Amino acid sequence: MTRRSVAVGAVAVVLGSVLMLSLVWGLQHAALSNPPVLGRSAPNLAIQTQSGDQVSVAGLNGKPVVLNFWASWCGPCVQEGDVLASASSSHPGVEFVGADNRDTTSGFQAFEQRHPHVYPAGPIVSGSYQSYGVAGLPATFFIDAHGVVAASFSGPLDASTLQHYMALIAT
Amino acid sequence: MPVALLDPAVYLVILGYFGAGALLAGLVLGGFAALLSFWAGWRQAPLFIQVGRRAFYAATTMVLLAAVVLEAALLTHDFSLVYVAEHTDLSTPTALVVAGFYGGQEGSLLYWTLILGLLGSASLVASASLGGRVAAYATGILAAILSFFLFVLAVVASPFELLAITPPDGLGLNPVLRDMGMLIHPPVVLAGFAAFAIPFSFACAALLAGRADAAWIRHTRRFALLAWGLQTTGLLLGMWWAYHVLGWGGYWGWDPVENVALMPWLATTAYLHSSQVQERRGRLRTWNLGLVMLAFLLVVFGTFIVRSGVVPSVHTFAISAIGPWFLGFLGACLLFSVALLALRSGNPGAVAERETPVVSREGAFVLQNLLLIGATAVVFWGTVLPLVSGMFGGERVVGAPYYERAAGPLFAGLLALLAVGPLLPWRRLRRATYRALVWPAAGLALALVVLVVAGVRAVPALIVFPLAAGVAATVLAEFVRTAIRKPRAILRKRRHYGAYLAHLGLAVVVVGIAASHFGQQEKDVTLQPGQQATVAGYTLTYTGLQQRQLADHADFVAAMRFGDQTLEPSRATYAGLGGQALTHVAISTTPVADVYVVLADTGADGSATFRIFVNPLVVFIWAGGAAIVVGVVLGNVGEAGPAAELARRRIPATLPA
Repeated sequence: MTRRSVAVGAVAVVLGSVLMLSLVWGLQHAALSNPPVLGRSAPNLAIQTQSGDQVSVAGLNGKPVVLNFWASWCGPCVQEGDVLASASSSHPGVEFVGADNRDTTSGFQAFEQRHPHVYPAGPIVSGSYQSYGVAGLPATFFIDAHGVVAASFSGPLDASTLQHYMALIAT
Repeated sequence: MPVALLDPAVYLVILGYFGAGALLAGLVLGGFAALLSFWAGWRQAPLFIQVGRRAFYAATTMVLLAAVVLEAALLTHDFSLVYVAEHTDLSTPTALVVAGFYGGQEGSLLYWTLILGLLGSASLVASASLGGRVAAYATGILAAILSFFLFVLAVVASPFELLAITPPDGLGLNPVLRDMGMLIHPPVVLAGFAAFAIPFSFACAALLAGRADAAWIRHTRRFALLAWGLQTTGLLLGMWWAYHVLGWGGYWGWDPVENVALMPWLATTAYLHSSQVQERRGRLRTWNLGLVMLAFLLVVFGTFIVRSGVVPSVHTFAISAIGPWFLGFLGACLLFSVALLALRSGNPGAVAERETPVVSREGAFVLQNLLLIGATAVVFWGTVLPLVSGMFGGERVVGAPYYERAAGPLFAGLLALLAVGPLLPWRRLRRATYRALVWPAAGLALALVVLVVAGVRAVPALIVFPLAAGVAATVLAEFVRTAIRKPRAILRKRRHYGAYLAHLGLAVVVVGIAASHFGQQEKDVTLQPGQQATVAGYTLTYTGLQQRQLADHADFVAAMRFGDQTLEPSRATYAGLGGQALTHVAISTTPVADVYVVLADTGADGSATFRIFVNPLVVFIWAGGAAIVVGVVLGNVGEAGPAAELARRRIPATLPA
């Protein structure tokens, strides 16, 4: 091996290592990831209830909000329905909003017949589940009185878990 | 329970299992083909070489089966599959449901794997003529690559993942992708990417077997050309799509994803030229091997960049777990290539031997290669800079000015070479060469005079347009000379004249790019119905706004009268996707310029805000691009028909008695 080929090899190894290391670094700091909503202002989202009223998250500013993403075709959403309903009745100071995702109108109406929501619920008319980084249903976001997302939970809620998260946004 | 078996829901779930099973079977067969082929090649066992090759065909068949299953699931709206539910819905038009196959991360990987398997099989059919060892190692490398993709598909990012509950409807395709461009751009680019694996595999196999002569180049030339042609088409379609759909008035933004598609194209352009030096003169052996490896490594690098989300880009793929796997694969390919080059090639880094005169066809090719690789390095550095700088603390991002300033002079040099290079003879200059150089010089001088008289004073424009005229003069002089003396030669030497046509097409593309780059004019105007706006001498009259409600979205359409036609730029709002808005551009194309109108905003009083661009000569880009592709296709179709080649090579490909 000549001195020149050793030098070329060394430079190649250094450059290759820097490249691979920076790619590894990049993977750990991916530019795209779930939108970081925790600790930030809640992204804009509005729903339309069966009676035609629009309820927007921003319009509820000043009160803590429990924002639940659900759908009529989602089994676990029925499961957690009673827990959410009873919590909403026992906490009049907290606003509950049910955001219906990728649903058909008939599916939504049939669901409301069988399992009527006691709080405003309906299809999303403004904003998107994507801005909350929702990957699966159900998903619930806990927004404090200042409009900041304090916590989120994926999957069906049970009473004690819901109590725990609601304590985080209690005023 | 026979009734349950007939239940459509049960049948559909089985469809998902069937696809996943096919992928697993393909993975096993691919791994078997890889291991067996390497062993058989090392032991020179013809029987097992044949078995390995057939295992590769079998693995490809499994991939084909999986692809058919996925397409069937899409067409039958089987929302029990996550992939189907996330990329289509019941209202998606059938053509886009079909396109959903490659519309998402997992499906596009499956599509890539399918193309790799099919092209790989085609390249292996006649490979026996290269000698048992090279053929076996090529099979092994292709099978290893195929197995990696199948592993990712079967284990990490399966398109056949099932949902626990089957929803009644899916999420639908991203509105930006609901366009006919979607039907052709991604499959062409992905197929081009997959095709780069074939020259890579044969180059590595030739090195491994110690047979670095030009045989592998001749064998894979068609595939290198195919990869290059698909990539050229894909880049052009991508530019066309960006221009017509995205609505920012341009077609190239130096986005990382565009960059990673451009780099393998640059490297392969270099290879297609330098490989002629090896075929003709037996030179640049190591350099050619290096270029082919570089092109493939850039493809893997690009795939990693696009699909891991490590750099911000407009092309968002859902983030998934495949990033680390592709990084590992890139590392493995990089190590393998560098080790092969360092250990098995005689004289690394030798670009040109000393006795080659600088002013000759060989010299022109070497210079062209250096310029192309320089441009690749510029683009590469701009793409990885956010990562490298980020790792060391302060993240830095470069934009279009960096690329234009750094790569611009290199491209100008390439253009000059394009005018002169084809006139230079192999080995050394003759007197006739000087006479031939009169034509490009005349074209260049004429264009320069015309521009100066027309009042153009911008230096870049005064460089680019005359050089492009020089290129055109070189090509046209060659065509006219041949047409007068021996017109049949144009048909007989198709490869030669096809390449000339591609050169002419490139000159036309360059004129279009330069004109629209230097001459673009834009204006933002807010108009009441009946008011006019004039941009670069083109007058448009705003006639009014109307709202149209379509199945899945609402459209605000503003009508503009332009001459005797009506332009209708619009804004669509997709309620189902959380109010996502999409702009529909209205373009009126003339041979001289495009009038390009974007509806930016609408007022309650019926007023509308427009951004109006006048883009000169954009149509040259599409026309020149078509000439490049046509030149390469016509120049190589039927050169030595594949059927004839197969017939000639069938005997050595059969099993020994």
